[in-house]
Amino acid sequence: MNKLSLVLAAVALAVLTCSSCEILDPAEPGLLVPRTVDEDPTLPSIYVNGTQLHAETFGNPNDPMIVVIHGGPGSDYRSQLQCRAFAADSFFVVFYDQRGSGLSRRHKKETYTTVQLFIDDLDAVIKYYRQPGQKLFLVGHSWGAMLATAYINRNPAAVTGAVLTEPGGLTWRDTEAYMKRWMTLEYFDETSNDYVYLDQIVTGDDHVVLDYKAGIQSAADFAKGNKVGIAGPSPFWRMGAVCNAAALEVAKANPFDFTTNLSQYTTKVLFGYSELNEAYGKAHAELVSSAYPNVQLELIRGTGHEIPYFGWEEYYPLAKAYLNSLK
Amino acid sequence: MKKIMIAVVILVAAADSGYSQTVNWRSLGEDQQNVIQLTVGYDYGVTAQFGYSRAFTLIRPVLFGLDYSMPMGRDVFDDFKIRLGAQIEIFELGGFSATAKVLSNFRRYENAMVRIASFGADLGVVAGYYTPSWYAAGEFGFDKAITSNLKHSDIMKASFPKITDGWYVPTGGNYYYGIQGGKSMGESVDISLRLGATNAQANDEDAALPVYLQLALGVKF
Repeated sequence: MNKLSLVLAAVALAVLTCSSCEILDPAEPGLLVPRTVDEDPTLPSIYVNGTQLHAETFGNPNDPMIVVIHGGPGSDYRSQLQCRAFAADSFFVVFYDQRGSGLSRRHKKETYTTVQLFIDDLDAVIKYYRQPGQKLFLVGHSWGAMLATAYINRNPAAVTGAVLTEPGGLTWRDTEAYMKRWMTLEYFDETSNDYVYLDQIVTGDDHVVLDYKAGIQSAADFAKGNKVGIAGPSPFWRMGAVCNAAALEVAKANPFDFTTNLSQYTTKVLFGYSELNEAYGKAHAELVSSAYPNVQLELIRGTGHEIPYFGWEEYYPLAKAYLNSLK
Repeated sequence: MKKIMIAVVILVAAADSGYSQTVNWRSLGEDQQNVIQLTVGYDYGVTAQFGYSRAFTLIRPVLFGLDYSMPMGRDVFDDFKIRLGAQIEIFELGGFSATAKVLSNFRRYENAMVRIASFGADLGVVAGYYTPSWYAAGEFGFDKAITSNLKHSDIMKASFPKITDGWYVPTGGNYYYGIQGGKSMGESVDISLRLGATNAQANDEDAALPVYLQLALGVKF
């Protein structure tokens, strides 16, 4: 009886405590993740290829155009905003969050049926901003460098030049091999257990909860001892969890090869890889970049995988010199 | 602070009871009301679990219990789960037996982005064949994170300054289904194995590794 009284007292105390709390719905937009462009009309956006993309530009629209392509799939361009500096170097710089990523509109998983969707979106972004005869440069990081290559592979004559940093691979085989080197779970490791332990507390089937959960789990990317050499957190708008999962499934089901037509692209490509990414390294950089006939391969010192953010001081002058040489 | 007080009061209230992950009712002697159990395995992470349970016979045999589990890693006390509750043998005929589990749980989770304190419940049924020296059973249950307090780090707030800390209802839930079995070693020691799969509620995305596998060593006294 004494024990029962104590339990009842605890329950009463809990009820009293929680009655003074505001109870929040994790799926409500704007509480745990920012609203997307279709939910917040104040955000800059464009309507292309049947979707609404978060996009903004810097510089004179008549200058040679640079399209900055972020990684992921499912990341966003926030950590690459230092590329705004190219606007001061007389380039017209275009940033956009890919479909289902960052602050761009979300789509159902079933709509991601092929990698071609991302290529078509990039093509639509280019056509939206590009003026007749305007030079076009693609600046892509990680998955963004893969997507840039996929575009070049399809449209070799359309691209004036490309700055690519650590694309996982230009074929699914190379990409998968790279991913296996850094994405493996280590069962007695804090980071791995932090990643999976969350699954018993947060589950969801809507974009808000899944994007929020992916944001929490992104702590693994910069955790101490990470194999890709990321020194710390980098800013992001909002993870695109469904886009990321769907793109991975699509790639597994339909292995891609973005190199089939690259022999037609004889322009020199600037290809950067980082000093601190243990999973990448010179050997993988040489393997991946060898698909291009003409490559300027550069080691970016003092940074891991997030080259455009943490390696900016070394990356920027290399990229600027390259872009100016083709301007 | 209030949350800590609630947890402490609940724990004190249950201090003379305990919870065992697996139990073989037939192997418990009349003078063996207490069970201490050490469990290792995979349960949303590689975990170690310590449990204490105490058996009573009210209308039906009941095992009250408490356990504490934590995942492996550098930071020992940042993530953990405490469960308390009871298992009641609701049916017994010959060697066949069915047990209902009613547990409350408290989870703590912390990484560079967030600190979570979560209260939930775990309801399940275990049914199988039990002898004094061994048992084999199947289990099915639902583990719900009913309400969670989210407190975000400066890193998370730097990315989204308007992110809202507070109590969220609900945050998640997983069904689990599997098998378990055990063998008695002498009069005081049991070993048991529990394995199965998890499935997130409704259409929720499943866990990254939707399985569990636990090996337990129990001592009765």
